Amino acid sequence: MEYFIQQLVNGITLGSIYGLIAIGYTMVYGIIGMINFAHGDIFMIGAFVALISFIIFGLIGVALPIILLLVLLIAMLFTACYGWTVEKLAYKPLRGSFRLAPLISALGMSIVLQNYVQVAQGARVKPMQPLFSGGLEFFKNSEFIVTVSYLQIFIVILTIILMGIFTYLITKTDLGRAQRACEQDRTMTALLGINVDRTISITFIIGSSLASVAGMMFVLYYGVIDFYIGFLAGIKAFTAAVLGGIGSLPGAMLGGLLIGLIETMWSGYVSIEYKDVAAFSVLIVVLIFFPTGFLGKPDIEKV
Amino acid sequence: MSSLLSVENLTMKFGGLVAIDDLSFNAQNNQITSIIGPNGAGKTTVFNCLTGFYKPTTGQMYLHKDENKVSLRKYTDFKIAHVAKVARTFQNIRLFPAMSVLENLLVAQHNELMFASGYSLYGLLNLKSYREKEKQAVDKSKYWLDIIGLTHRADDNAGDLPYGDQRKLEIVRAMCIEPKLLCLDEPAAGLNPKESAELNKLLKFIKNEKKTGILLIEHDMSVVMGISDHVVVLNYGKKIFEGTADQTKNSKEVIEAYLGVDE
Repeated sequence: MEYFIQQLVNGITLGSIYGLIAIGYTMVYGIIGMINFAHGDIFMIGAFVALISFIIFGLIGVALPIILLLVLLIAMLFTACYGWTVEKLAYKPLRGSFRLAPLISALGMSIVLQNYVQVAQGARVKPMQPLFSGGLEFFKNSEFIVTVSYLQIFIVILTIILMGIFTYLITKTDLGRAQRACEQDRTMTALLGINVDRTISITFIIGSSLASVAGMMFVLYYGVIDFYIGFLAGIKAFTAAVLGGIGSLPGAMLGGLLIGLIETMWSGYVSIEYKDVAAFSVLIVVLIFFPTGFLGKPDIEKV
Repeated sequence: MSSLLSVENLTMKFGGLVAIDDLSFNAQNNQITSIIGPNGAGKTTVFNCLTGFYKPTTGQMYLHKDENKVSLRKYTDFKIAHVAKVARTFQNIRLFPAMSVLENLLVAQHNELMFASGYSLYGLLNLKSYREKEKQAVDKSKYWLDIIGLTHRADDNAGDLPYGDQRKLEIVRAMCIEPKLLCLDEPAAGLNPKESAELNKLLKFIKNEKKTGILLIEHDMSVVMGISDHVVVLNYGKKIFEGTADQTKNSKEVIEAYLGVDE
């Protein structure tokens, strides 16, 4: 039982990170109907920016809460610029093209970003000293002591706050309204006087900044990063988005959580080697029974 | 009185096909100008040229806005509605079905709201200036919903409304951008006689109260003859007749175009 709770806590933490990345996939898919395969690498860039700023602020010697806030803002800002540029360079010129063109362009962009970071930062793994230590301990009298580290609490709370802001933005503000309108009918949205290109750019900016937060969490949580982390994390988050129903925002959060839980439970109870296999197998099984994911809208054609 | 819209020698060619051939006509403020003609006459192509979907091969389209003469050729995409203030609807219904009726009308007021909300920043902070602006937008939407009698369904999804109500909502949504010129492409298609009478009433209201010029493509002659101030008849891309509704009804050319000529 205690062991289960420990895995649950670990799973929720991991799921938060996946969920934040998955939102970027699902938003972009919703608004322009393409899978942005470079999104995982945007997450990786976010992690690198966070690492670099952590080191700089660490050297200067700023207090921990201020460091966290500053790194968060810097990582979001830089990564948003990357996301915006990627969209302008690789996807916007292909807007009127056939559906596969931006997809191929996205794969190319992913390779470009990976190699760019490899060249600029080197191929070796980059370690970082843990900033957080300690945590809360539960079930002290039993054999297995459940530890919830302060870092895990920080990650989960930050995720909840961001998801709250984000949900408010999409459902209540006029920016979110414009995004949902673009999702449903881009031509008509333009005819109502809304700058569709700008709305799409903003979508990329929001998606990228959420991914950068996930990147910062990844650096803090694992303490090591390299230029290749974007691939697997990206694929996992994509799986999460599909599992929850691609195009659906609550679906992305739910999917992220599920993938995180499946992974940790599998590594906890079965074998740590096959955790990726487990996550992807669950996706296959779910898609057989729910072809549009858990919260995706079924495509009913009106005749 | 100067005209609101003047189309001058408009020609649109698709390869060898001449869809519109040297078309000139004017549309006035506070008037309903109907464009009629058999299928394939080029009516929708005229709309597509006006709203920036096609770039005309030759010819000019001018919109007269408070003493300014604006060439519509220069505008495409969102600027047609945002800058030139031309709104249009399509033959098929293009509401946002997964958004509520009210939200559909708010989307059309996006630019004002976006500015007032400091690109959503103040909106997130829920500042007073933004709340006031949003209240104004909601009030405007309510005003229009009252007119088409849909206030009680404001929070329902637009896709769940009956067909006739969706048509009216679409027109009202176009009005929310405060257009100078409203282009309606077959608004009465698929409406029953009662609904199409309501549509006539709505169009007359817009024409008289809102000082908006309306350009109308329609096959339903009860609508065209009932409300048009001016009728332009097209056939094979050419203007074959122009006049009032009564003149059009009795015109020999128009009857020939629709019914054919005796051999």
